[in-house]
Amino acid sequence: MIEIALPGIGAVLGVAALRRGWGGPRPWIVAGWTLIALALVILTATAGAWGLAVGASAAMAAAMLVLARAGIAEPGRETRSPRAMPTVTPPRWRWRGLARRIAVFLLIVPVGLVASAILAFGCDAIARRAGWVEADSLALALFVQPVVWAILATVQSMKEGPVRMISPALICAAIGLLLWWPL
Amino acid sequence: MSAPRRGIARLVDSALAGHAAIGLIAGALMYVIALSGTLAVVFEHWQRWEQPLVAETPAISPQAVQHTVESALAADAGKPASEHLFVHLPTDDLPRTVVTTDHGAHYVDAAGNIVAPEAHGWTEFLLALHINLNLPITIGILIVGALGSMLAALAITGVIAHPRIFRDAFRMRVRGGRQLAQADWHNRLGVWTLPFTLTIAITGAAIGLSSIGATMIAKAYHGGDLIETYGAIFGGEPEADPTPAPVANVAAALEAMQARFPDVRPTYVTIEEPGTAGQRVLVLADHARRLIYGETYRFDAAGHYLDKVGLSDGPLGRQAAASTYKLHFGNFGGIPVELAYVLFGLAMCVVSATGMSLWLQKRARRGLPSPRLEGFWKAVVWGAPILIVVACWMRFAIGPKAPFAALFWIGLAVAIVGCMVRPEALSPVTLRRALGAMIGATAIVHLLSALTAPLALIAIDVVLLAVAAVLIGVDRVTGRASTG
Repeated sequence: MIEIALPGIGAVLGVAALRRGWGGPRPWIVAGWTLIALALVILTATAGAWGLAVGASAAMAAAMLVLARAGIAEPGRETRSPRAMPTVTPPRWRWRGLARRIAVFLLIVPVGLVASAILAFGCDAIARRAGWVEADSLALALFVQPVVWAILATVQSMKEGPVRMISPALICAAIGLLLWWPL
Repeated sequence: MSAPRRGIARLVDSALAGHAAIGLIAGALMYVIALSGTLAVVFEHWQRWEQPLVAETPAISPQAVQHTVESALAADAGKPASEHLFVHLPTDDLPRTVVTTDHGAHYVDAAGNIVAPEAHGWTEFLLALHINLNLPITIGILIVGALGSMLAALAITGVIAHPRIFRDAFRMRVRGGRQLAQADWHNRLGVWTLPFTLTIAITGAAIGLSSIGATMIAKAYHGGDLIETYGAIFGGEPEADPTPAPVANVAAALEAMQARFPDVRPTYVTIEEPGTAGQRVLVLADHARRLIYGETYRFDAAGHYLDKVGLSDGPLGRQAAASTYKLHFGNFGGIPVELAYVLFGLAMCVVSATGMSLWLQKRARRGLPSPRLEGFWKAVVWGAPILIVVACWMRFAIGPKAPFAALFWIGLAVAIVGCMVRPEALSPVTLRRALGAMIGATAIVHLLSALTAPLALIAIDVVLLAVAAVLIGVDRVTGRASTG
């Protein structure tokens, strides 16, 4: 138990050190990140993925408490942001705008889903050809699809206009087909 | 501005636009899933809370489990034979033994006698709300899986859109203007829960979308047989032989488990094709300090050990796939991790709620106020938890078969229409206080009606009272009436 508790406490102390160094002495920041990294490495070495998950949960919970305290303890005064906050420029309502939104939805959701599924299928195929056991190739496909879809949606959503959202999906699907195609 | 700075600024703007676009696509449903997921983390505690006076069995002997199996099959006499029989063995989160056949589920006492029907309809509604949005499972789980991927995309675009991620790490200006306060909550909570968000997004999406990948692979390599495909990871089904046979010797299997694998804790017993010559006993056992949901140990009908599936030490892919569930639901480290997951889940609800709210405020600031959209969002943010509490009241007033899903979704639709037609009718502060009062009243009534319940269940009522107090009195702490 001690081999889990000690690095767990280390991760929590790492967050505390980050808070201490925030806007202040830089060595605290370095110490904080070092402590967190060290704690997670030790936990992973001691208890594998479980240890990593426990350590990350402890660090995040500590950060939540620090934020809660910051929220409660903040002095009661009106403050304004010292900088212009980045903002989204909302388009004025037009039918063309609606069509654009529908196109964006279709490209990111159903088209993105199909493209990522094809790439996942391609990954499974190439893993099989490489001699992986089915449990590994299947698991690879099951994890690749949501990850690829998330990345694809990120790339697509950062493009200007629906037309530019098409090519990332096409590239993704093409890679999947190439991996699958028994060349 | 230098060229690299202009490039970064363009990237930030693009990421912010993408963040908003995905948020608008997924916002409301994602909030409902985050809210129900937060509650689902402790679903076994809700299950106990919903039926607080059912006898608990912290431990049960192999012989009592055998008696349970025989009693359940005898109770089903005259009905079509069950294809599977399950016995949930007592665990820390649910110290009750439950036997389930194709015809129903019942709690049993320590001697293995059936004592009460399992009747946690409200908890099941909560779980279904999170897992499949109360839709038919095939389509519902796909939609939720898709939202998992969109959540991961939101997290990635959120990070790219946040160039001062480290410099602002702990900046909280909750007493600044409304937009500033909400932006700080949104950004800080979003950043510090990033590992959690990505973890539950990807594991949730992997679970939800698995049917697509598995179906494609099944069609390509297994003649469309999904069970055979999934068998590569979770273990296959036995060859059916419907010839009648005495019920399997579960007691022998459990005794063999104690003798051969003393370091693991059996949590579930499954009999496949019970009462037939083809029956087989599976014992799912929890492995300490592992993320896998358990290892499946297989026994023949006489209770002789055959083999295990290899979830604990088989191919890496099998172990990884078996680790998605505990990682997603947060039940890998006892109460402390569960509470941490509840905290992170609440943070995700705040991030989700403030995200859309910020977008609406920015529209208004640009001269495009959207009172009806604001009404819509207010109805979703406060209507969803209020309706979950109303569903809970229905559970205790009508019973476990009450139409929870219909109440929730019809109620939410009515609330949305109402708030869009009259956006000014109820302020978010009023709704928040109403929610607090409803939760407080629920806790008090539950506490008074179950004074003899185990301490752990009384603790839930105490926590609910604390939540109610926070919802009603949070203005006293922050010094302003949050309008978010």
